[in-house]
Amino acid sequence: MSDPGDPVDGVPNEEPVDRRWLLRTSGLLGVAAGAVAAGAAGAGAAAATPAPPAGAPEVPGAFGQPPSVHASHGVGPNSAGGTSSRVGPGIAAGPEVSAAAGARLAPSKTVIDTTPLAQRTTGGVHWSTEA
Amino acid sequence: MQLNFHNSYGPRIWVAIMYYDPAGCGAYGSWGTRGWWAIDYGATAYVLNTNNRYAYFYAEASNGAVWTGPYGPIYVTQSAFTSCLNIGQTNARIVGLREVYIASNNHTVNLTP
Repeated sequence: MSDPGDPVDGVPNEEPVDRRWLLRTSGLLGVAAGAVAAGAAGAGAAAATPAPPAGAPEVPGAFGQPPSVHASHGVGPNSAGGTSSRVGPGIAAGPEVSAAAGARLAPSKTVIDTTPLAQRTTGGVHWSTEA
Repeated sequence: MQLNFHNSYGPRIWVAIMYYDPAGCGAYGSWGTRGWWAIDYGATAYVLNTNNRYAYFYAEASNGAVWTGPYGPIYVTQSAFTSCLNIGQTNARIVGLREVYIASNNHTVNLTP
């Protein structure tokens, strides 16, 4: 068996210059490509993620009491680009004019007391709205 | 779909609603009931997030004006409540409701004079 010859420039087992340059360049390119791919994957994931659910409705309180501190103020009836319907006080006779699908009730045939709650005296308890 | 109520009427208004809830109220008529949201003039209350196009409400203003109708009727209590259509309570009163068609993903019932 013959001994391997001495390296030309005295640095043992060193890769030739061209090969080192290629390895470093490809390594940098690989890192850059990885970063781009990760970014694209992140963007794709963001696009595929459904919109966050709407916030929970406001918490109700007692009849006759002031609004909660969380109730929104000064917001217009159609400020978010949705729809609105105008409804004056009184006794509605029947259903809304709509044929859209959905669970829906039929009007009750029971005679319903339309006296305002604050004016009823049943049970001896007055439901005040003077808070 | 979000359901909101806006007070363009004037005096403070209290609102109660009935909404489709077969999971929570399946044994009691499949409709849930909830109240009260107090809404001052110019304010809006976000009261419901639902997948159903129809809901029902009762509203009463501090001057005695009412928004009522032939639906339900439901039992309401003076304190805040979350219940079902066919659940009664001895300390409750009965009110009739109006129907509201939820026409978009963000619908507002504007209570007017």
